[in-house]
Amino acid sequence: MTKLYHHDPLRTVAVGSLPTTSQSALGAPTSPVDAVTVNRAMDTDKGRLQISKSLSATSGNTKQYFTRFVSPGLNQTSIAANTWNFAFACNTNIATSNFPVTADLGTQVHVTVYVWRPSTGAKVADIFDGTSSGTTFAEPSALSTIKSEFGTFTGSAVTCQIGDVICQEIYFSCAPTQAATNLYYYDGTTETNNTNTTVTNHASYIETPETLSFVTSQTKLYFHAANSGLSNLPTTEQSTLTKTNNVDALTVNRSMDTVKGSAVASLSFNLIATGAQNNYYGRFVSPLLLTDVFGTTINANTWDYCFGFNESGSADNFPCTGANQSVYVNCYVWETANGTKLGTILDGNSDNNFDEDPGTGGNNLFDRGTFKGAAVSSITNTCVIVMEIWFVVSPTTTADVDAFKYDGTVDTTADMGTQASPASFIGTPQRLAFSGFGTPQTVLIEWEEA
Amino acid sequence: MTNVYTVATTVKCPPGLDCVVAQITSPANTEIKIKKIRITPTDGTDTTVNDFHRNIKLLTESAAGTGGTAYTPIDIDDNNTAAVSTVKTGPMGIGTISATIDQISLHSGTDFFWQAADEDDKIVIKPGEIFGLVVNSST
Repeated sequence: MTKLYHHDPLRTVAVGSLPTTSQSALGAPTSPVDAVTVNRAMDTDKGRLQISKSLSATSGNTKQYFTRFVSPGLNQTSIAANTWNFAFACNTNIATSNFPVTADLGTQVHVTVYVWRPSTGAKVADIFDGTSSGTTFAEPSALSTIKSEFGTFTGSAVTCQIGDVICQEIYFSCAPTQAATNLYYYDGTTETNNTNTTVTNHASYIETPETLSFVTSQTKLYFHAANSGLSNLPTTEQSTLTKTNNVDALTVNRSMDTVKGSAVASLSFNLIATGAQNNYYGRFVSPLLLTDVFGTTINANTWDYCFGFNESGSADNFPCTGANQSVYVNCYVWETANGTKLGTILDGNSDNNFDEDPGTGGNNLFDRGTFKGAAVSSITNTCVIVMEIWFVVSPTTTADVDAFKYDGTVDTTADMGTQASPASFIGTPQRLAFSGFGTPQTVLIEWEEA
Repeated sequence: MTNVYTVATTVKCPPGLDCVVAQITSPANTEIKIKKIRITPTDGTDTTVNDFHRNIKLLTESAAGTGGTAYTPIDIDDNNTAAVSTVKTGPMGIGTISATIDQISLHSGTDFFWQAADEDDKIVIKPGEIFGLVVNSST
């Protein structure tokens, strides 16, 4: 069973492209809420705070497009035919909006779900594009009240490729006879698997009985407090940013490798000024890459960047200001043979999926997000991956301490979950190999020579 | 007279990637015969039960892959002369494959052990050819 929950942050891909037009049988929408080029994320985690999209429908506006949600890349080559569930919440201010059902007093909604191939920028096939099954959807039983909706649709089997994504367009076909304001709700914490329950923080989703597999980090590099034992490493930061403050000395090269830590460590900065500042926290260096085994190129990919943090006060705006924001990433490949940077994976902003502590601060939280890494080629066995930890912040106080926490034991905490021992890491879907790391195999071969 | 040699080593295999753990290169004028192979998971220091899988391949190669560390073969009869084959231990890359002689997937709870049943069962490596033992470990 797989549920794909709708979220507000945007979905982008490192390679290829996502839809820029509606792929629905309904055709081009009349007045979309989100532009049809907008792709938001859906994944297997629930949200935290309900979001709404509001559509001002005129009489006769039958093509009511709200937005599109896109899954992570699939790690499988087929999707089975199944009966899918579709759960959402909606609200309308007038009964004659006939929203969200497909006709006056209808009990079905239009569903558009398909598989998209980013590498070719084309739709692979529809899972379903038509009117839902059964009779469980309905117009909200009370006006100007957020009501749950729950029903099913018949999903077709689709042959796909690893890296393809599932898209759902929230695109209803209604028959309003008067102007109306219609709202779609998502990204909340609470499922309501029925129709016409009043809700306040709804987790909207689609669900298939199949357990879908998505591309995840096949190589994780966990940050450690211990210094790297390698030579010819950077002696200063390598970012295009201009440093305002630093926590570690710029000559310090800590280590990162494929093994989780054992005791949490912190890089903590005592705020000394308000206003915009580029704060360098530290640098982590991988073991030597083993190109003999994985090749000489680090591929362009969407990397995971997950870390623990503690923002002691809400005025710190650390590690970013508010929800669904970017953080700064400087990740590159360093050639230890000659002490130079070989290539940049990213020196810029991450995806907009990091969050500040939503409370008043003081919590040990685990922030999960992603960044788009470029390809780096001509890698040798004397190269390492380097990750510099930067935070571009604008605190409005100087009284607080902001900590980047790492070297702990747990890397599975949900986004913005509480975690006192975070195993902070960067990860890529590519299988990389590092000298001295891996599972030992004890081998004997015996042979004859005449 | 036939002499018997061994390579015995522990190699750290990167997860999810084919890597050569040991390769034996037959010299230009000598044929060699592989008679026994054993692979056991981990290095014996683990204190908990392992749960992973391994894909094991027995290859012949016409050209070796890159990497690896030179290894001095062990003569099981201390009176014999040194081996003429050259040996490297991994992890190293796969070269140009001539043939895949055997392939098997095993859980970490099972060792891989193969021994030639008789003279005809030995794996013959032509002069100048390379025998490679490949492991792909799931973790």
